[in-house]
Amino acid sequence: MALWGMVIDLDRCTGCQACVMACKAENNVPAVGPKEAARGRIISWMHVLREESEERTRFLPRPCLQCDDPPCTKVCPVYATYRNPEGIVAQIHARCIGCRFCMAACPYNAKYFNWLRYQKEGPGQNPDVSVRPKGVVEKCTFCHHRLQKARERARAEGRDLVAGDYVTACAEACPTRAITFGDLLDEGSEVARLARSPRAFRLGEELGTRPKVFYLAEMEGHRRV
Amino acid sequence: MLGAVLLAILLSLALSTWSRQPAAAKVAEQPISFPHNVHVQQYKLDCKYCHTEARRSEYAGLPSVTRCMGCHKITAADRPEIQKLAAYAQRGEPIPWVRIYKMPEFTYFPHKAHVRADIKCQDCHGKVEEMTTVSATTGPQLANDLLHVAGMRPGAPPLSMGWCLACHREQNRTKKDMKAPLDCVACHH
Repeated sequence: MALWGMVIDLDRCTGCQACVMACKAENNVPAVGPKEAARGRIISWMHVLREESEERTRFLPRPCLQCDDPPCTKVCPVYATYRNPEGIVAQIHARCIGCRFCMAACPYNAKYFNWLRYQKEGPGQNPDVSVRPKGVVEKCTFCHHRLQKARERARAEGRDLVAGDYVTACAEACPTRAITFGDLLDEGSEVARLARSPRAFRLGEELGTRPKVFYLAEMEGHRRV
Repeated sequence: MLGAVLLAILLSLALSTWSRQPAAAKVAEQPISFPHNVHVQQYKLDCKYCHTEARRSEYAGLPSVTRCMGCHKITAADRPEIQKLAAYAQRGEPIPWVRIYKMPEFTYFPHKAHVRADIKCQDCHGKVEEMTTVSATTGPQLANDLLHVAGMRPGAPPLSMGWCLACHREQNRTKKDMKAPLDCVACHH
């Protein structure tokens, strides 16, 4: 059993938003339009936070942090969001009743509500990801449909899943290779090595959520979020 | 009086919207009346001879008109239904078959995984080899739900999630090194 995790090197991130666009295209994340956006209803599973100061501008790409002890799943009254055995915090849209308790519980604002049916089925959509209806919460899923596909491919070829078979869209798109994805339990993997790095830290570590998205940074300022 | 009318309206509404239709389909009028029973029983064709995609794709797929004509250029070429087929072939048009089995959009069902796991087509699609017209049965839903209300536990109706899961659990229990997933995200993404 794997434990999927991600390492994002903030020193490499240029804030180019390639990961954001890759995520939107991969997961059929809708553009809500200017009117809805003005009301703060933008949906962006991968979101690049920006901090501008006199010295420099800093970026922090924030997918769902896939907490190992997620607060959002504990408040879901219908078991629509849960942590699966491989550590992915999933959201089952067909089951979600749209109560938004999970959004309130998430300390990282990684969950988004569909106030309207923002996107119609049509050409240009990724057929592997369902289009969310109105009134459900959605979130980054570590592109777990890619995991299913990778498993099927490996099975068809009669072999086990190997490192690199399953990578998220954001990690694949990053031009500076700031995002590394893989199995945290696989000791030899790049992601496990980087997660043990002295530069590594996690967002809101004091909350005890134990995110599986690690950040790498040398700047002291990043250690407190 | 008003109460009774209101109750009647509500009741009829409730009954008319009862069928949850996960993948419900009725017997459909097809452009060509295609007898599965003749092809399977008389000519012993394997399902995957025509539905070739099943073993390597998410979808089982339908044969192309050319594939049909592979046999029917000669076989039974004088029958009226086959002449319809020949006309499609001549015009170079696909046959507008009416879809019978529909999975909800939020459900991922790959045929290939099931074919690879040696699940028979008939386990889900019923005895297609005896059918003249394929129809998906969704089972007695109202009766099922009433039994549930009465505290009995009938089996889940076909093509519902409970039905899928019942089979997955059964497979895991009875077959060695079978790993039919029970994780929600295996099918819902």
